[in-house]
Amino acid sequence: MNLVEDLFAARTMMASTLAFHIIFACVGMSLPWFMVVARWREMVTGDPLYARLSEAWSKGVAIFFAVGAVSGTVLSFQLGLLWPGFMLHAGPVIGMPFSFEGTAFFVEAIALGLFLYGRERLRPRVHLACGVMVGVAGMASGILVIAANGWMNSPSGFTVGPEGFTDIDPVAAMLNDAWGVEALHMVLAALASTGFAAAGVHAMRLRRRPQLRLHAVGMRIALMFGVVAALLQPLSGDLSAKSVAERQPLKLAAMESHFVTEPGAGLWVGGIPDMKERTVNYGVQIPYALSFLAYADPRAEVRGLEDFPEEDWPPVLVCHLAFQLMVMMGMGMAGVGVLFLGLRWKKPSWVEHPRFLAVVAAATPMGFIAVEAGWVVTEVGRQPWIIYGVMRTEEALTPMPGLWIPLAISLAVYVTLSALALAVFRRQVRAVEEGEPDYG
Amino acid sequence: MAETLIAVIGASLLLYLLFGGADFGAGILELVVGPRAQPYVDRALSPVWETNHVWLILAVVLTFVGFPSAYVAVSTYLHVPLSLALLGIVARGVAFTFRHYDPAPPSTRRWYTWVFKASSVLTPFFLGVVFAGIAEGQMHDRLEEGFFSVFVSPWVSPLAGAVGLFTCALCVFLAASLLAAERGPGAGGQLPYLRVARGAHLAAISLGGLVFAVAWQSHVAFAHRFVGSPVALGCMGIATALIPVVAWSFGRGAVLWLRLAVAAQVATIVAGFGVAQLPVLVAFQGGESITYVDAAAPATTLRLLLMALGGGAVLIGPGIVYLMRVYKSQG
Repeated sequence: MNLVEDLFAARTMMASTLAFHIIFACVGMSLPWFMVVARWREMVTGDPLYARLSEAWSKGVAIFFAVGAVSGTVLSFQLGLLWPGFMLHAGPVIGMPFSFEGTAFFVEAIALGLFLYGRERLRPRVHLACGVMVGVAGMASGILVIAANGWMNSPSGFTVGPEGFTDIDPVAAMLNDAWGVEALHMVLAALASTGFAAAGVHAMRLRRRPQLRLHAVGMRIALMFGVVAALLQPLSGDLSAKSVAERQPLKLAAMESHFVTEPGAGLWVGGIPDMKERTVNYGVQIPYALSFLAYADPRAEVRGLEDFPEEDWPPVLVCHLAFQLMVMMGMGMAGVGVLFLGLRWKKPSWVEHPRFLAVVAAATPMGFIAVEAGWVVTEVGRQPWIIYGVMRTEEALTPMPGLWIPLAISLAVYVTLSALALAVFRRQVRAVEEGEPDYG
Repeated sequence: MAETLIAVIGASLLLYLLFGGADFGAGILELVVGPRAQPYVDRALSPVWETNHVWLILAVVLTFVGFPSAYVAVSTYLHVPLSLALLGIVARGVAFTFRHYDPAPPSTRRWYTWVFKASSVLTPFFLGVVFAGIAEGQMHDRLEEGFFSVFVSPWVSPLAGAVGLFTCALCVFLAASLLAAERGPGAGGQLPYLRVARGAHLAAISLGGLVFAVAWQSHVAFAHRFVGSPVALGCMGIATALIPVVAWSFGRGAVLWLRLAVAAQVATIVAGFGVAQLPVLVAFQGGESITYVDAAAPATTLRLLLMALGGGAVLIGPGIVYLMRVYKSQG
């Protein structure tokens, strides 16, 4: 009795764990830096407001770290529970970054413990240094895990023969072609999403309680991180696009719903691919833009889906929509960023104008929507391969039947956890506000 | 090199059993003693609990990198108990974090506490079941025999139940020894939870005996190798010889001796188990098995992995010592 096909159930389960985990990973990579900046401002200015802000953020780091550690534990098991065929071959090849990541994670845990419990016990400089270590280690874990994903997209460091994977070179596997561009894109995405989310929450609360300076200061710091990252992201996106065009032309074609191989290819904005007619409906096409983006040459030939056997196509509709959504959200954040920098430059007092606060509040989820959509592009765009061009996802699947049961359980767990985490977060914000001297 | 890696995995499992086990035990203890244990539990766990699960992750990562076929066999055929243990880890970690950080109304907090306690039993029990399943040798890959035969029967056995309960008892005992130091300075005399700790100690000893009896009775190859190995028997002898030391230090309130003796006991039990199990990593039906030699990854991988471990240890070791020192410096 199978309610859903096992392969689909396993993919959905993996996707839901990753979708859940990635939020915590992004916060774990970024929020420590906000807390460090606040701590540093405290040391420079001596203003206790910064101390309270740094402490409030460090509590956030602790909660997100703890839940992220748990979902990370789940991931390390789930890889084997769902994809034993993958782990059997991939483990020795791409285990390097995982073991480095373990070290980084450990260092992060220790440094975070020191930061949380050392506020009164350590000298300020040592305390600050511990905070920096939390940030460095958090970033490092993220970047190292990306190496494994980069390898799945751009496998290197082994030869496939009749006896499985031979000539294994873990260093070459770790330094795969996709790692650099993916890691850069992810770091900026983490900073942008966490920056905009944190700034948005502060802005929402500041609209409610304009007298709370904590929110005003918090919003400025968080937004600065988010805005700088969001403005740099298009450049990194361009590098990614060129790298994908070279390594995974099929993925690029699916993202763009580019069916026909042609020189001077146009770029679709919006639109829904029509798989039967092999065309895109309701979209606007910018002439030559795709060729230019992919190869820095408006006349370059871009290979279309038709060049590849249809059984190798990723789900075109999903990739296309996810890519459009990601770009849209990125544009939105960059727009808010330009507005913010403009206001700061020309009209500094307007940064706390209710209208601008409303804009920032509206941008709260944009970064995380972009992150989720971006991962859909990467992961769904790699299908039907689990190791691109080497192993198909179905070959890696566990023989265990009835995977819809664990899928149902894990979906229920993630929905419950998300709801709980949101409630805890609201109560935390409330508690921090009530501790403020200007609460009134 | 494979031998060194096995030793590291064993050590990290031991540390997980000691520290993570004390975490689980604290939850079970709260279940047994009631809410008055909660402040002790929170205080003893909060600085280190984040680091404790790392030992399990480390062991898992080292296994899938160094001995991939063993990792794959375990996660395929023991899918169900592993998933249940995972569910416990998730529920427990989240409930403890939220209990600690969530300024929630009492009704919600009672909920967290309830989940925390329940999952503190569930997780070590099923981890024990997984280890029994690995050693018992009832796994097989005849998928045509159906779901129950392949994915359920290898871990539903008297031995698995006994090992699960034994793990729980061991955890409670560890937690009682850890929390014993939380009585505060100058209290002197008897330690708190003396009765629980005694009970747990007794339960651990008798359940350990039961595990062995069941293993012997069900002709598990592992039990016979155990009896045949002087090293394993020696380990067991040391663990037994330490029982009076533990009882004595508990009665006298000698916390340091108590912790050393308890850690030594657990370490010898794990070492004895390891010696008897090796070179087998995973046992299958009909005496077939995956040994660490069969499963070992290519030499390049192992060499790099060990180098990475060494580098990591240089970073992490001093860090942990520093954290402990700062935390204990509160007076």
